[in-house]
Amino acid sequence: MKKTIINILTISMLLFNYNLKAQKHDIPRPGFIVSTTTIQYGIPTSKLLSPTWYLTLRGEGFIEKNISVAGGIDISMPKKERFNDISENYSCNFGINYHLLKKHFDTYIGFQPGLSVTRTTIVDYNLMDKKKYIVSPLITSTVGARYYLGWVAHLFTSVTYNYGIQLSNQTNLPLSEFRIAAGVGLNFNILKAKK
Amino acid sequence: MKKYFLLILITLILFSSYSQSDAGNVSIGLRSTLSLFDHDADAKIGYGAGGQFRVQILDRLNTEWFLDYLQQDLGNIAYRKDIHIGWSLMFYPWLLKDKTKLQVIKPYFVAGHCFDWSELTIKDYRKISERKFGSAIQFGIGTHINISKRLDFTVLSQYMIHLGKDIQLSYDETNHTHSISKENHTDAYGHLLITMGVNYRLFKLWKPRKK
Repeated sequence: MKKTIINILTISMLLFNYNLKAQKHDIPRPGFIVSTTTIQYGIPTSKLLSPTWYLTLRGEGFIEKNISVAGGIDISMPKKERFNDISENYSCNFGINYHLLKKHFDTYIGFQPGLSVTRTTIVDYNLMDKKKYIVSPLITSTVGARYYLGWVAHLFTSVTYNYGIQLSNQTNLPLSEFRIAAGVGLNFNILKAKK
Repeated sequence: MKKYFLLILITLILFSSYSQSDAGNVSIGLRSTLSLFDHDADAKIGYGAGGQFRVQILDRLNTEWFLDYLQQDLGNIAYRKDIHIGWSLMFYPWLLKDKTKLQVIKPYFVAGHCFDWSELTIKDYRKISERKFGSAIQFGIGTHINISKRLDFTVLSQYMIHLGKDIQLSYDETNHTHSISKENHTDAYGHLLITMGVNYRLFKLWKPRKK
């Protein structure tokens, strides 16, 4: 137990020291990678559907001081089956974020078209095979804010709006929803700073 | 129709034969598209996602190579899914003389061709669907909104005319059921596409000639 505590403290001290050094440089900068694995809460715009929790993996790479390429995968978590609802929803999107930076505080807006793969709870056995997955395009935009804790980590919050419709043999289901996320993410620097 | 299309292309190339400073730029981007005014009576607004890359040939002439995946609800009766893969020529009529300044608004005319794959499915227990592979031409106007020297947000409005085979909903008045009919003719039916996208300039493929 003592050993574990000492190890954690040592790593924390090293990271803190590393961050102090890092703060002398511009964060973010081209080559700066931001990643996160978090839980998102999806609030559908249609009252017909129930809210969903998503496991989300996101990555973002800065190609300019204010511009980054961003992408991610959202995996819906199991929920109580309801009549005529989306039971499984897997989506991916990819696009560009524009950042407004003030020291280590970063607010951004993004445009990220994507695709979703969904499956619906049964409405009528005659109409639809339950195992059928349906691919639908998504129009996605996102706004968010981050605070960079040096080179190593950041705190973030974001709201993403997805627009989409699942078209199938049975009733159309709207895929439009707001997804809210917050948490801590890790950063990596893959390019050296220009002197 | 093909004659007019060729005439537009030749005009664009002739008008763009001066100044090469942006020539060789290669950029890549993503887009979302809305499809309006479809010829099907009950068609609602379609939408889709896709991507494109651009290779700029001359200062006033750019090329765009794109792929879009679209879907459209045809009311309670059917729905369709489309994939468009094609290319367009973009002509910039208005450019800033001072190349050091950022031209925030950069309007352009566009004309091009694409291949399209469509699947029409009837919404009922019969699971009837038909597919077709065809061709289309598109033309319209758009503008880049340049956010930086490398990044632009583009809004584009273009009319797409489908050529060749078509699949359409037909109604059987005796049985009171819908079915899908295949039409094998060229007709100037089409739809309006509104596209919004972001595009990032990656590199220069070749050095422009000096004047």
